[in-house]
Amino acid sequence: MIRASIASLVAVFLLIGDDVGRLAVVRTAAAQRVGTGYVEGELIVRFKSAAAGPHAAVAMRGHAVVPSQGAANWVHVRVSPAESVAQALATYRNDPAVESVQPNYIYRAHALPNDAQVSQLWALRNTGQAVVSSSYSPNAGTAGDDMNLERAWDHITDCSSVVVAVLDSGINYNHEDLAPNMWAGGSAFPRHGTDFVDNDDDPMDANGHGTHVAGIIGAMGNNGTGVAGICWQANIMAVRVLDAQGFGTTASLTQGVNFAVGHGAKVINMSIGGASFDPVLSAAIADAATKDVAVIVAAGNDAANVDGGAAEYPCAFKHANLLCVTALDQQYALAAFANYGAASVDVGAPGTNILSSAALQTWNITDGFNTFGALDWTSAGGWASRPLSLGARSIDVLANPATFPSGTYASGADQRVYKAFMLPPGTSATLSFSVQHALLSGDSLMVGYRVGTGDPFASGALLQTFTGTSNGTMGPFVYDISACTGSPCTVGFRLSSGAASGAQGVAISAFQINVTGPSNVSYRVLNGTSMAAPQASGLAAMLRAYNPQYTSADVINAISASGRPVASLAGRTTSGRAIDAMSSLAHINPPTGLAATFH
Amino acid sequence: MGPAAVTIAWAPSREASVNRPGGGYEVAIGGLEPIDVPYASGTAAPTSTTVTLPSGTHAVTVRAYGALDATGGTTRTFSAASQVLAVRLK
Repeated sequence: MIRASIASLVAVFLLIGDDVGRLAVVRTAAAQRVGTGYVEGELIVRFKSAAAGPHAAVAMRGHAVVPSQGAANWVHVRVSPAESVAQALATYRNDPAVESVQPNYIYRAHALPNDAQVSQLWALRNTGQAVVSSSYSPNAGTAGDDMNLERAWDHITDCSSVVVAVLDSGINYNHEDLAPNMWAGGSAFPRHGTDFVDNDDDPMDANGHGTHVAGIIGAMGNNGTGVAGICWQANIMAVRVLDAQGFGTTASLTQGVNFAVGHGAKVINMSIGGASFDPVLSAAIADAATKDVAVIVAAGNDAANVDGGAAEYPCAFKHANLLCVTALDQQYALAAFANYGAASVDVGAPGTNILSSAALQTWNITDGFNTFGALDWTSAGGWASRPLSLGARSIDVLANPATFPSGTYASGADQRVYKAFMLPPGTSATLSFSVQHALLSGDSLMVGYRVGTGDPFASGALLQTFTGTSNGTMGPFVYDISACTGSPCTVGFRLSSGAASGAQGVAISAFQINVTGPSNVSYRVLNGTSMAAPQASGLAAMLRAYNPQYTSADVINAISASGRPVASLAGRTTSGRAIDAMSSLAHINPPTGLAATFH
Repeated sequence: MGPAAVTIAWAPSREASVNRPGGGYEVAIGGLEPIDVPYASGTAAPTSTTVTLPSGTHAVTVRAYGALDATGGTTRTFSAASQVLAVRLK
C-alpha cells in the first residue's frame, strides 16, 4: 500500500518535472500578455537565424507552418494532431537553432458591454462622467473610482450558475433587461420567485426598489438595451418580502430567507434594515450559513454609526456569512446619508446616482389653463387664465376673478371651471396644484373630479374645500385620483360665494396629474446603501461562478480582504476597503493543511 | 541519518485560477531554491511534491499562485504563505 502511494507520487512528480513544468516556465516568461489560455495545437517558434531554414526544421518534426506576416525569424506552427502543446514545446526546446518557443497565447479586447446607457454606469467604469437625471450631489466623478469591472469582465460575465435571491419589494420580472436573467422556478414557481407579503407565487414589484436592486446585480449585459449589471448573465430569484410602501416584517423576511436557502440560492441580497435586534431573523441567517449561503445587506441611510447607538439590523448581526455594505459617492467619499461602523459595516460600494432598471413609469400631465392666452377649461364665467408674477418670474394661473390679484370676486356666485384629461393606464394617479386664496367667511373654493367627462360637481367626488385666506401661495396639495387611470378624468374648481363681496379671490397654479404604472422599459437613478449592497451581491455571484468550489466564507473573504483601500472607509468599516471585482477575482487564499511524509 | 526523501502535501486550493494553466503552488524550504509545482492538466494543480532534504530542521511554507492579477493582466498573483511546517530529519 505504501509502495503504491509512493509510486503514484513519483509519477506526478515526473509529470511536473518534465514537459508541463517547462510549459509553465515559458508561460511565466510571457507574463505581459492579456487573457488566459492558448490555442491548442499551435506554437510560435523563434529561430536564431532565418538562414537556418525554419520551414525545414518545422517540417522535419511533422509540423506545418501557418502563413503569417511576421518577422523572418519566427514562424507560426501547427503541430500534429497526436501531440499536445507541451510535447511539441519539448521538441523545439533543445534545438540549438531555436531562440525560444512558446504557445500561441490567446488575447482579447477588454470587455465592455454595448448597452444603450452603459456610459452612465459610473460604478462599473468611472470616467468622471456626470450622470444624467442625477439626484445626489456631487455628480462629478473621479476617473478610476469604480469597481474595476472592465478588467473583471475580461474573465467572466456569466454568473448564471449561481442563484442570487433578491429579498425586497419584488421584481418586475417582465422588465426587458431582467426577464432573460430571472430564476426558473419550474411549475411550482412560474413567476421566478414567491411573495411573502400577499402569500402567493407572484413577486411582481409594486414599489420599484427590488427591481432597481435586481438590475444592479444582473441586468442583462451586452444586449444593446438599457443598462448592464455586475453579471451580464444572472440567475435572479425574486422573493417579495416588502409591500408596496417598502415595509416588511420579521415573518416575511424570515420566510424569505428560508425560501431562498431552501431553493438553491447561494447569495441573498437584503437591501433592508430595521432598528431592532431580531432573534428570529438572526436564526434564519445563521441557518443560511449552515447551508453555505452568503447574505449581503445594506448598512442603512441614516448617516449614523451602526456601532454607536444607532444599530441597524441585519447589518449589525455578527454572522460569518453576512457582509454589510455602505455607500460611496462618485469620488469615493462616504455618501452623506450612509451609515458606517468599524465593527459592523464591512466594505463600501458605489451607492449614489446609480442608474438601474425601474419597475414603474410615471407620466406627467401639466396644464397652463390656456391656449394662446385664452382659457381652455369649460367655464360659465368668473374664471380666467392669466399670468401672475411670483417673485421674479411669471406663471400662468387659473384665477377668479379674471383680474386677480386686483379686484374682487363676484357675490352670490356658483362659478365652476373644469377640464377633462385622458389618463394612460396605470396603477395609481395623483392630482396636484398650488393655490393662493382670499375668501370671505362662508365662501369656499371646492376641488372635485369625476371619472369621465362633464361637470365634476354635478356627479363626481369632492377632494377638498378651501376657506378663508392663505398665507401666500400654498401647496402643492396632492390628491389620489387613481380611479381615473386609463379613463377620461375631469378635474374642476368651484367658487361659491354668498351675498357679500370684497375679497381678492383665488389663483390656482402648478397644476399637474401624475400617473404611475408598470413599465418593462424604464430606468431610473436612485441613491442609497440599498444600491451599494447589490453591487457586492453581484460580485459575490461572479466570484462563486468563477470559483465553483468557493464557499460562502471564501466569497465574503475574497470581497472584503481584496478590496481597494479607501480613505473615507478607514476606521468606519471593518476592512477600510471598497469592493474591487478584479482584485477579488485574483484573490488567492494561502494553502492550508501542510503535512510531511518521510520515505 | 543522511538525506531523505520527504513528500510535502497540502490541501487543494478552491481558487479556480490556481487550478488552471498558469496556476499552481510554490514550495519554500528554508535555504533552498523554491520549488515550482505548476498546474499541469485535469481539474486541479498538484498538491504535493517530493524533495530530498538533508538532516536538520527545515521550515516549509507553500504559496498558491494564479494567472490573474489585480490589474486584469496575467502576471502571477501569489497568496500569502501558509503556516510554517517544521520538518525535522535526524
